[in-house]
Amino acid sequence: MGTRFELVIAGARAPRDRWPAIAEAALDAVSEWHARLNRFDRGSFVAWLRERPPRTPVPIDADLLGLLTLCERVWRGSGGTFDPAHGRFAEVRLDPVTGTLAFDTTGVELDFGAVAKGYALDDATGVLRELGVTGALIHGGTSTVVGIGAPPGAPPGTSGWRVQIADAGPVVELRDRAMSVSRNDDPAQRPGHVIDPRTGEPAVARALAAVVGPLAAPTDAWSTALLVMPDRPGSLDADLTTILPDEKGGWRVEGPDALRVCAPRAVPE
Amino acid sequence: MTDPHASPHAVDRREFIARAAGGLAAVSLLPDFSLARQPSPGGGVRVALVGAGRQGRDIIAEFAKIEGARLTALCDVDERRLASGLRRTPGAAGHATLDSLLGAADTFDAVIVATPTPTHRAVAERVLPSGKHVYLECPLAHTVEDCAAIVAAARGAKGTVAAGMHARANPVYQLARGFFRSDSVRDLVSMRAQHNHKETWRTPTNDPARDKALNWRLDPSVTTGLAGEWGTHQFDVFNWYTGKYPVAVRGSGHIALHDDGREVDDTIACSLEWAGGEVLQYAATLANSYEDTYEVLYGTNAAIKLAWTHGWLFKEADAPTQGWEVYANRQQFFNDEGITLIAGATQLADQGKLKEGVGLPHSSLWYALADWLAAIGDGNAPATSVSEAARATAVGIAAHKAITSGDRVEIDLSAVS
Repeated sequence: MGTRFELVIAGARAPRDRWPAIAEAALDAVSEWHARLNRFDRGSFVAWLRERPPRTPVPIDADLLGLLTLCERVWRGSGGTFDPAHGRFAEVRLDPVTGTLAFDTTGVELDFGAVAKGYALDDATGVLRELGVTGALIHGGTSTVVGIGAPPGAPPGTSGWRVQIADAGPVVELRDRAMSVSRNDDPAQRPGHVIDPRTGEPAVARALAAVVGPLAAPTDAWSTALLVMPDRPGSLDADLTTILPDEKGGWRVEGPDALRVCAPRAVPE
Repeated sequence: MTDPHASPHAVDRREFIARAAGGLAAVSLLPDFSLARQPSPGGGVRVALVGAGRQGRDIIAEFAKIEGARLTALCDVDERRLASGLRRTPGAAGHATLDSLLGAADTFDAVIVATPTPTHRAVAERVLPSGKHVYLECPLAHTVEDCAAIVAAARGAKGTVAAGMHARANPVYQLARGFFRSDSVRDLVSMRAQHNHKETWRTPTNDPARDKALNWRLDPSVTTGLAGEWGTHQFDVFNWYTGKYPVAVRGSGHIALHDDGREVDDTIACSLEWAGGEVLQYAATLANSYEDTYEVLYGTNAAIKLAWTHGWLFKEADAPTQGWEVYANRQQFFNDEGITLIAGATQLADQGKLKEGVGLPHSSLWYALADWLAAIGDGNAPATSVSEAARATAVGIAAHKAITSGDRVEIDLSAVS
């Protein structure tokens, strides 16, 4: 995934001298996903997939099927603004019944760059919970972050890990929640690194989009799509909260977790 | 009487050079004479995996990228690991016991044993007589007695039996061995290897009943420590290259970082002595990751450094230049320049893609599994025999004994020769 993952454990049922092993197990889960999904690694499963002949179903496991099912849902819901096949996801054939994947033509390549961090973080969070972690913050490349429980000694009135969006953006309290922030380098000045897969042109709708929700994979995928989409779409999962810059220099917050979002000045020191 | 420290396939290096005099030019011009074997895509070997722990998960991941074989059965006595493994193996049947697996013997043609090292013998003695093809992960066992028992059981096996000493199937290591046994390195001066990887070696669990089974590597009564678990694989590189085994070892160890109540050293160093006076200096730690894992053979003409997916040849200034070197890919390491050892270099050079060949696309585990499956298909011997693995494992066990006792330990391979 070409980025740094960091994890802080603040509370767990296990004795403290076991926490490093717990952290290691969680980060191992991230490494396993990196090894499978890294399209730049010739030995990865994704690299192997792109060499398969077209119309040849390949068995995939339940975890990868889950990831691709999510991708298909966001791809449809976003009208193709999220496309993990560089604009060719329509040529990807996913069969949940047989658990197979096939490409219609040659040259189709899966690129999970806009969702892999979130999916790996969900897996790592699952490992942490299973091992009895009650308080932790884990992020991938600072763009997707998950808070478990609350930090020790949290100020009164706060209910989770406080994470600020960008330099002067709002602060979000993450308690058993994930947040992803996608950012496009100033679209008014120069092309950003996010491309609208429908047109192949740099995305221009907005410079930043943040999404909060129970799982990191959907927030990761939707935050990328929202960079390109003009408004919060009706197809967005109901459990997701969007945080988008408005025309007046403020922020438009919509969704079930809106109350967890506050202006920086409202945050107790 | 045969020397148990000499490989049965050993050829004196000077004799090899003399015998290969006609072939030396070919070696010089074609530094890619050795390429990995792969199974036939149409082979359809049905494989059962015993053990769905850390190594088992890696095997499952590699199997997803190997054509011509599929995992049809998975066996693990740990319920959670079995469930987790089955999520990664579409279409495979789960078995909670070895009896259950062997009761469904018509569902698989071959078995991979990837259970904890101390349990290898018990599993191997059940699967080797079954007539199935068998791949045994290494180290082969945690005692020399168990190694000998596995070797004896393998002698009567009807299927293709391979041991997982990963270097021997690795194309870069095969290529480098060709250089070592030619005149490129010339006389061996010394050897060095390390395994540095910062990790706990502890598998966390909330269930005290699972803790002992999951953390067998930290159990002093059964573990062979870093020397056994990692060193065995690396020592085997030198055994294989020199065609001989060390005769004695001394070493020491301590806990440098993981002060969590464990009694097994997280940092070790040892010195293995060969009969000709050559010495291998080995160090391993779980407290630092610098430079990871590699082996170096120092010769009077050049040094070879091997790092699993990569290999380099560092030539002395007075070593003769060979024709192909002008086309070679090179990498700078501070004051030294290494010639990259590239498997399939001639074909890649012809296609103008030499740099794309730097570094293997797959892990050593992938090549070892592919080699075994190819051997099942073509009937040729796999890269590593059980006997070779037993001797390498016995070296690792001796090194662990030297480290934990502080004594100089003589390496007795007679029980596994």
